Amino acid sequence: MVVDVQKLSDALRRSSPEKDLRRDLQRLIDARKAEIDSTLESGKCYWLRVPDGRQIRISPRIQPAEATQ
Amino acid sequence: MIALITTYFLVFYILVPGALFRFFTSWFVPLKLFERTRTQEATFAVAVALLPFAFALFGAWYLPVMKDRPFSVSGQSDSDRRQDYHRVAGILTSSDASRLLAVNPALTSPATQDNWHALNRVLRRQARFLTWYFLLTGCEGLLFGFLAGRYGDWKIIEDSTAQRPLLIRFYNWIAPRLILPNISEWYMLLTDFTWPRHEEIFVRVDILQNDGNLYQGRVADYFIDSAGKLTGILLEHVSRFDRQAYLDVKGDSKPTEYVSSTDFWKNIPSQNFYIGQSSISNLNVRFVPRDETLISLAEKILDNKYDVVVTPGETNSHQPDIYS
Repeated sequence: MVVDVQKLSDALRRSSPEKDLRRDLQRLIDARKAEIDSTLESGKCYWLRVPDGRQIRISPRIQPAEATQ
Repeated sequence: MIALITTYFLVFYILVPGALFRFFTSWFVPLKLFERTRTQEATFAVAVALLPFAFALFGAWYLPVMKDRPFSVSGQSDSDRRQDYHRVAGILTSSDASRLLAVNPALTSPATQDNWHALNRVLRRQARFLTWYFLLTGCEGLLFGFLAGRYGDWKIIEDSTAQRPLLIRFYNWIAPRLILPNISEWYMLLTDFTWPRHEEIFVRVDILQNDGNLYQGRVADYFIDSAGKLTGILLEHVSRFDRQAYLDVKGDSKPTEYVSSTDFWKNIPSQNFYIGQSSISNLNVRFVPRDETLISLAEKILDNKYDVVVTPGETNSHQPDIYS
């Protein structure tokens, strides 16, 4: 396989993994905002699968005062 | 005898330096691999060995330490050296070398003794030269590997307006000409080679197989053959898309109902999941920021109201799936 590695490298560097992730995450969370809020308000955790395959667990934030009790 | 000398030069002056260069460079980055003809291999080795050869030759003749160490010889002048090489060339091209190098004490003459001394000095000079030559070739390989390994950090992005030091600009001029053409394209595509190290980017791939199965996972390793072709990919944190279940649910749902595909990914409990090239139909490569970036982005999008944790792969909705 003959590949112009210079072009490949330039193409790769023009993309921005962080921007892509932010865009994907924004779209995903916006689409499920109501579902996330209602799940977390009921005290449960919400699991979300990011398009890159990783999974995040969103849980209600524990206030420092609660944490020390 | 001529064939023997030619082999000696080919092996020690061309093939060994080429192999040394590859060996030391591979400590940092894998070079492009493909089956070369002997001529191509020799051309590569000559290009690689040109600088070390010139420097070793100059050093072995003129530089203080290099011209004496190791394997020092008496008679260091240019004319002594030339005389020794003339004598040895005469012996090696002679049709009756045994007469010139008689080992029988009865036949030993002062001329024979001189021949042996000249041969000894030539061998010691060759050993000294080759020592420095190989050392310099190894250093060149290390330098090349080091420079190639820093590509992600030192590469200037086209739209960057920041003024960079002269050395970095020189590196960006030389990298596309010397470094990149020798790097394996798979290394560039399946590792974080192109990205600065501090960004801790890693690579995830979506692999569509010929039978329609879709896998997603983090690239742990990849394998290429001697022709430079990809033979397989080793994945970790793998999940498989349950397409049939997705299609069933989608078929049973109302036309207006949205069925999210994200619920149909099933984790595969394996850290070493190998997919061979022959079964790969399509490969989608993603460069993924580290988990901390994901967490901070998610928290920001959620207005910092909730805690976010990246989980190793278990969800509440799916049990690990033995791949079928």
